[in-house]
Amino acid sequence: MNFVRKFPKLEQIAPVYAVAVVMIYAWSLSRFFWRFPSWLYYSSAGEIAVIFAYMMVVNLIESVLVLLVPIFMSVILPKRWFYEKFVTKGALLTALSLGYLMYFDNHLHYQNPFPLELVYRTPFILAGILITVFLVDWIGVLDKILTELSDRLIVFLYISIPVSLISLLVILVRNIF
Amino acid sequence: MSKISRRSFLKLVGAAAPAVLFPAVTSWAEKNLNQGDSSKPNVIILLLDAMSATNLSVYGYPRPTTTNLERFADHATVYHSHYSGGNYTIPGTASLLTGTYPWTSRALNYSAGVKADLIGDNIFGAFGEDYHRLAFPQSMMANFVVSQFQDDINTFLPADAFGKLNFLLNDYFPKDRNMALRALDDFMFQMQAKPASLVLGPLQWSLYYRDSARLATKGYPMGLPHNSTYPIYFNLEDLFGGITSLIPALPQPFFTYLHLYPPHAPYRASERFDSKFVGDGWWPNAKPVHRFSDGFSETKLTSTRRRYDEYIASLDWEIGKLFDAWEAEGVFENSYVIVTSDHGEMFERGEARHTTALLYDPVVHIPLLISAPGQKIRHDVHAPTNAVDVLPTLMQLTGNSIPTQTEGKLLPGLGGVEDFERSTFTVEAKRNPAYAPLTKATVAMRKGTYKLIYYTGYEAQDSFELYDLAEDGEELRDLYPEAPEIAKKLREELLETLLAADTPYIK
Repeated sequence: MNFVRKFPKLEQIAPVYAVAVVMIYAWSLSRFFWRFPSWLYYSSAGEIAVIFAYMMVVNLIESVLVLLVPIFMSVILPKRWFYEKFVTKGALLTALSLGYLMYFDNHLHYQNPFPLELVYRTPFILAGILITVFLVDWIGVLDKILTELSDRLIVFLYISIPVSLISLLVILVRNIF
Repeated sequence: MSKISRRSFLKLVGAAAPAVLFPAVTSWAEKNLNQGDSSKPNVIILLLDAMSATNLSVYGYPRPTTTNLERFADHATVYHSHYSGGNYTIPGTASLLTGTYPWTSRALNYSAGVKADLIGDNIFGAFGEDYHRLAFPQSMMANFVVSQFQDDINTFLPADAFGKLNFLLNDYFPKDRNMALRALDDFMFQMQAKPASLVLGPLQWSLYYRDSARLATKGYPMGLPHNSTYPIYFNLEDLFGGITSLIPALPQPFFTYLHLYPPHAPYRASERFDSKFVGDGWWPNAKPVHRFSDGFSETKLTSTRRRYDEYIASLDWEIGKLFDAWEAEGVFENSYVIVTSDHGEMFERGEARHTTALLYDPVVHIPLLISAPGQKIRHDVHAPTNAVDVLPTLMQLTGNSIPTQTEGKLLPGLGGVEDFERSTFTVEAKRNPAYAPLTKATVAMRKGTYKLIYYTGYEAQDSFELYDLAEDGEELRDLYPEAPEIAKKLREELLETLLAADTPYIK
């Protein structure tokens, strides 16, 4: 199958996944530590640990969902368009998209109107992100930086994946028994 | 935990609906379920969030906000000096459901609950297995407290059970509702601040925005009632329609705790009552702006109060229909029906609503009306009572043992006697760590006709205010400097009681 041949290998997936993990988990962790002092007011260590576990499970789901996007693009697009530069293009696509989501999230607050103008702008921003992703072929230095950087982020997977899996187990136990 | 799942319960409610619409028809639910011990009375608590006694015509408010509650009062005991345990939902609800003051339950902070060793002593557990115990905490803040007691609740209806949208995630974690609520609805997918979920958070927001924008607002000129900080929209007709059908379907005897979100802000009166009080010629007395207030203008407070009153009138209309249906069903013949609130709401002294350090009567004086099974005449009680009294009273009335930790007393007329010299307390300490002495708090003590208010930690020096509510119901004349003997006696009692409550937390 042509599709199977364009499915990225584990060593290609890992650095892209690492970019997603760092951005998604870091965002949640920053919010977690922002709320932490208020939880300390009235929560036990165990309760805070359970909140952390739920957070890790949601982050695991999110990071996997985000990873599916570059994998999907790799599979459906011609090999030369995405697969051959999967790490560079996947990492850039992930970083820019999640960066935009951070910008979007910063506009969400119940006391403010929903940022509808940002929603309307989203297709154009996504188009801009995709153009940038496909232009990366022409910027050799960016290609190198992205490859090196995403490779170095893999170390975080050694922490996030086991902790997320343990968290998943905790949540399953709490909801089954 | 749940003997009836949410889905099967809602089916059951649906099956019981014809019995309400056509009383001659004996519903399937009645045939199959109402076969419990009918010698024990049912108990229904109808709690209306943020409903101040000050704004209810049943308590003498000049605007006709509660004509239907006035009808209900004709066959109920009306408590005229009833106080909440706190000035917002968490401490107010915890006081009612544990029979303890917030300084004992430590349910002080936003999104908090009661301390671990009190969880087992809640009202649902106290009713015991003989009772079918149903909870419907439509208020999300109430959910933080009620979900802690889920092991003692047979049927837990989620906050959006009779709502227009379903975006609450804790619904999907029935065995771990409290922690799922705290971790998901109140953190990862919170709406009070940016969500902690980077990818799914904005997706949920967008879907919620899309769906809420599509909701029909017919009958509500200001838009549908909704929870301001959680994704719940509802209309009063559906909410009360659901509740109307609920009761006849329950196995008897039952205890139901219905904690309804209205008339909490945002105030969304139905078309029938929207602008009803515009130009009615009634104006509240202007009061001096308090130094701890947010400085709202008198004009803003007056218009906000009017909208609140109109929302209460809308709510009262639905309560009237609900009670008529229950009357036809004979619910009042074998049930204690209790109407109350968790805290009040204020529109004076430059302060609006209840998120405040102030504990004036509008924010802590709450309604309490109790109709006993078969009661035909009205009874009035004027002695001070508190939300902590409800639990021990209900236990006494239903033949259950009273949990030892309760700080409440039996309500006068329902096993207790009127005690005008009894002290009751209301505690505000949302910015104080729960498990530390109260160093940033307001405590109000009601004793006899006097009310002493103690502010600590807000300014360099602690301060007191003292009012004689018999002479000065509007709390305008501070007697603290004028009556030093009375002030000293009350101050010493308040500080001693506070110290005793703080003692376990003093290192």
